[in-house]
Amino acid sequence: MANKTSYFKEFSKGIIKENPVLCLVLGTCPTLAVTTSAFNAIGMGVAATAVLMCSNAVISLLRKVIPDKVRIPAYITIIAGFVTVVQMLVKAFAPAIDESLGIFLPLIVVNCIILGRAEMYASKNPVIPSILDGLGMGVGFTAALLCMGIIRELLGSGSIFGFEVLPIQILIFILPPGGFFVFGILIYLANKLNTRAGKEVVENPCHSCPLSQTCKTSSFAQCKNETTDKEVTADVS
Amino acid sequence: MLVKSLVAVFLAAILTENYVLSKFLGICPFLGVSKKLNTAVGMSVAVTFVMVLSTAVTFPIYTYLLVPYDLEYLQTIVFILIIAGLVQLVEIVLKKYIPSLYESLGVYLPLITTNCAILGVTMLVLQKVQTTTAYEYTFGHALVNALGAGIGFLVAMVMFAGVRTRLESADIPKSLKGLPITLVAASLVALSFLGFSGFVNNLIPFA
Amino acid sequence: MKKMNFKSIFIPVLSLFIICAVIAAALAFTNDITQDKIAQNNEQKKTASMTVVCPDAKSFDEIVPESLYAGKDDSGNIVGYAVSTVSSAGYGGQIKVMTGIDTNGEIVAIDVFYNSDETPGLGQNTSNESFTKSFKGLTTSQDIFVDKDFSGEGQSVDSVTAATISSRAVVDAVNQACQLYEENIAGGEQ
Repeated sequence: MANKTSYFKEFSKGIIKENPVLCLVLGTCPTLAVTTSAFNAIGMGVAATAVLMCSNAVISLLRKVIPDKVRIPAYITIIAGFVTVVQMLVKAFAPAIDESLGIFLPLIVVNCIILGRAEMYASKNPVIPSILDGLGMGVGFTAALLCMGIIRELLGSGSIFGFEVLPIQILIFILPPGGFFVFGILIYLANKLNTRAGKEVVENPCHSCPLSQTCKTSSFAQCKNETTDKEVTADVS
Repeated sequence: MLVKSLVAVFLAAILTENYVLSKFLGICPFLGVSKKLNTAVGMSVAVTFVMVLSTAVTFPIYTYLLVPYDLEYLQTIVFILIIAGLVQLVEIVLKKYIPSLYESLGVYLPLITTNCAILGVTMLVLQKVQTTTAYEYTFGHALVNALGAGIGFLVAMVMFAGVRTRLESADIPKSLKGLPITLVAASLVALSFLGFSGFVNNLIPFA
Repeated sequence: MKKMNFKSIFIPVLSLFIICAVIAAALAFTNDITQDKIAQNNEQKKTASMTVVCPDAKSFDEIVPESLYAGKDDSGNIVGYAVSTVSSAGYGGQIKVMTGIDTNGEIVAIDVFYNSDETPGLGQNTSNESFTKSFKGLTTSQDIFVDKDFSGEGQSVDSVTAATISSRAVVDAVNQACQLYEENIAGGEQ
């Protein structure tokens, strides 16, 4: 029984507590690019979730076989393989999604959420928790994308999932500047909720960046210093 | 005609098709290392270098190896491995032969493998080969496009670094501090780039 | 010591190689099962678009490969033409247009069947009926312009608000279609 609750925890942590987009600030590129409509957001979310679950499962299975030295290239190969499989399946069975996501479908490969979960979770944990972790993170990613997609579509095109609801359209919301703006406001709200709940606001992407260990940029050193600062700020660099 | 089209490709890559501000590629470094001007420039130069280099390798591999054997579906996996390999190679070569350059650029290299702007540019130039009908889109165009994309990245980074230094001294509500206000600032920078839409097409028409 | 080195290089290389080989095999397999379906999808989309612009036709004959099709009714008479053209002058990339032309050289309807690279809410509005219907009744023998470029010669259509570039691209594709029609059908008959 204890197992069941812990499994549920693996799944649910990605949705709110460690939401990859809003709390860990990973995968920003697709979050901004494909959220011009709610439909696109769901397409992207589902595709990424599928890749995340499969790659987590395989990497967890092979975690004792892959030599440590070549683990990053090995992970990238596995992820790229699944991305291509998903891409072909989407092209064959949901061509409309393929058209609207365009280049961002193959670019799931470089979505840091996937490599990040491989490096930080799947490479250290058994298969079933890894799959659940992937599913949870994927659902969290999809939820955040959907949130962005609904807001941008509602304000920018006056519709939700293509059904017209508002008579006015503020075009700027579906253009790039609107993407940055809505994302900024959403993170602001997430911060606000986190501070109210008394939780620490950790907003340094370097923390969750899969390459933080290899990355020696001065900005990473800054990151480290900033987190030790007493005043908790949501800082990027 | 050739020079004209090259200039058009170059300008479009910097201004109208800016990878960061209108195509949302490479957002992580754009938000992550734009706090200081010198790191912003260092990162952009490293990105530009790897962009041109990987386009120079992936373009012929795709055209002369993958297409003739109907292996286009291997594009993603082949490209990402080539980029990862190239980044490693550049790092080793720089470390050994040009240590001074390695000091200044080397630190950014590991971050570049998973930078979607690089994979994005290598794929988008190949799309353009098929979609450009006004003139023949050659290997040269692809390289110029990659260079322009890198410089566009540099321009966006430098502009944004300037905006962020101003933000440092501004009085901002606590919850907006950091990432949220940075994104709102990015939104305004992106807005300014919207002004370039149609600019290149009108400047250098191909009709 | 040397043996150690050999082992520490050989094993990572071998394991990477095996992973790559397995993944490549899996991809080849998936490609094998999906490629027919993908080709079929593209074909279906084109046929659906042809039926939209040439509704009376029951079957289509290819006249110019991949672009000019003659629509025939049940008894084999030509009832119109569907011309598929592409313009690369869109805001984000390609725009693909199917133009329906009747036997008198008049545009019946157009269908913008690919504009996903355009900005949603702006350039993508070029597939809306309010824009496409303005092509109805135009003749293939004169160039078409968007209102902004119109100097009084030829014919003009109103461009989509705030999407002049995408509108121009659609007009460009329709002009290509008219030219194909003039060269292959109208020119051939006269």
